[in-house]
Amino acid sequence: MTISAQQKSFLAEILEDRPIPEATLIYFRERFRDKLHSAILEAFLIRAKEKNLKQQDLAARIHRTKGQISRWFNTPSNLTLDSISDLMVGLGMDFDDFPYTPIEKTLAPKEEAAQVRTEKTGPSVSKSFIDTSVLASKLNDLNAWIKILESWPTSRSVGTSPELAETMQSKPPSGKVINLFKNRQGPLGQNRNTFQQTGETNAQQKQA
Amino acid sequence: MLTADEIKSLCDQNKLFKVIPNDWRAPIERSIYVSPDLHNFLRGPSSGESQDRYRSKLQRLFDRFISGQAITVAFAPHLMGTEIKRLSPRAREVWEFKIRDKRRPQLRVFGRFADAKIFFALTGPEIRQNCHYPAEINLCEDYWRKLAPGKTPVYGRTLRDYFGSTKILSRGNP
Repeated sequence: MTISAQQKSFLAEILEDRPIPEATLIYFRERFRDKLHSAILEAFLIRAKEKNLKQQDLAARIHRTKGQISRWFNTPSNLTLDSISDLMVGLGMDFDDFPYTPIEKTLAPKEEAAQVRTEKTGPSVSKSFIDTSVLASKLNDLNAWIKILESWPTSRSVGTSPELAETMQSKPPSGKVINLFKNRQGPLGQNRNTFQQTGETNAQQKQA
Repeated sequence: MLTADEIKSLCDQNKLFKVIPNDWRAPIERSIYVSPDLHNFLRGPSSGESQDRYRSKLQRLFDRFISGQAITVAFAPHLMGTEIKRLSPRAREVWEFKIRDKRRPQLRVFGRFADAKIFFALTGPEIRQNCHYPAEINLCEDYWRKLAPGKTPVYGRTLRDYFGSTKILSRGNP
């Protein structure tokens, strides 16, 4: 990630714990609203694909007019906390979480950012204490599983029926859904790649 | 349409300025270049709270365009409520970016697509109520002619010709 001098200057007050100019506060309000707006549009497009949901159906579900839904979808500035909640409930969707990252850590070069992620997810294996007796026990279990699998008839498909086996095969993802998630930032500031992968995985799971 | 070298030359002469997004985490999918006046509006000294407010909103709208985030676009003359619109008559190829504010008058910025995913914001910002659209279109066209004599803007048939394949919430597009 390369941060320009202009972007650094824009973030200066935030990073230096100084009073933040009103213009910066306004920019961040708009940015936050945009992210929520994107998340709602995305949720709507997913539901439209899955259930053939239309704006009119959504309007009827939450006792609004189609015009109101259209206004909410048209520009992020029309959204309020109440309308965001209504739209998500109407779509039958729920926000998973509201993750956040200290801004100074989002500026870190890639290697440092990886380190930050490692710290967040817990100590790395190399640093942690490994109980060798537990490891030996796991290896024994693994060997036992390998023996069972080796003795399994090769003609038998995984699962109890051919239909089930078929459903367990990974289906190629829909190009349309991938395009939807391609090249965009996550709705709540998640890492772009992580979000893209998650979006694709979700779409595939839903299709399956 | 203009080549990358021609755009670079215009930037070197300070006739155009490339907009750098404030959003340091967003991807770069498209480009916006602005006229010196608009550059000054975005980056120059502020005349007060009102300008601060408007320019933050305009910068944010530009950032969304640049990052390829969802954005609503009107491709037909009768559609309202979108964030970007191709003005009528469409053969003139002048587009407006809308700066909305619930407490203040809306502003408009006008420009043309120099190539797919490359927008030149040339004139404005103008208060919406004061906009005489035929005059604004003429002004924008004149600015373009002086900036890039003999060059034509994008004459597209679909939104993809202007915005590329990234996500657009289209209204009235073919």
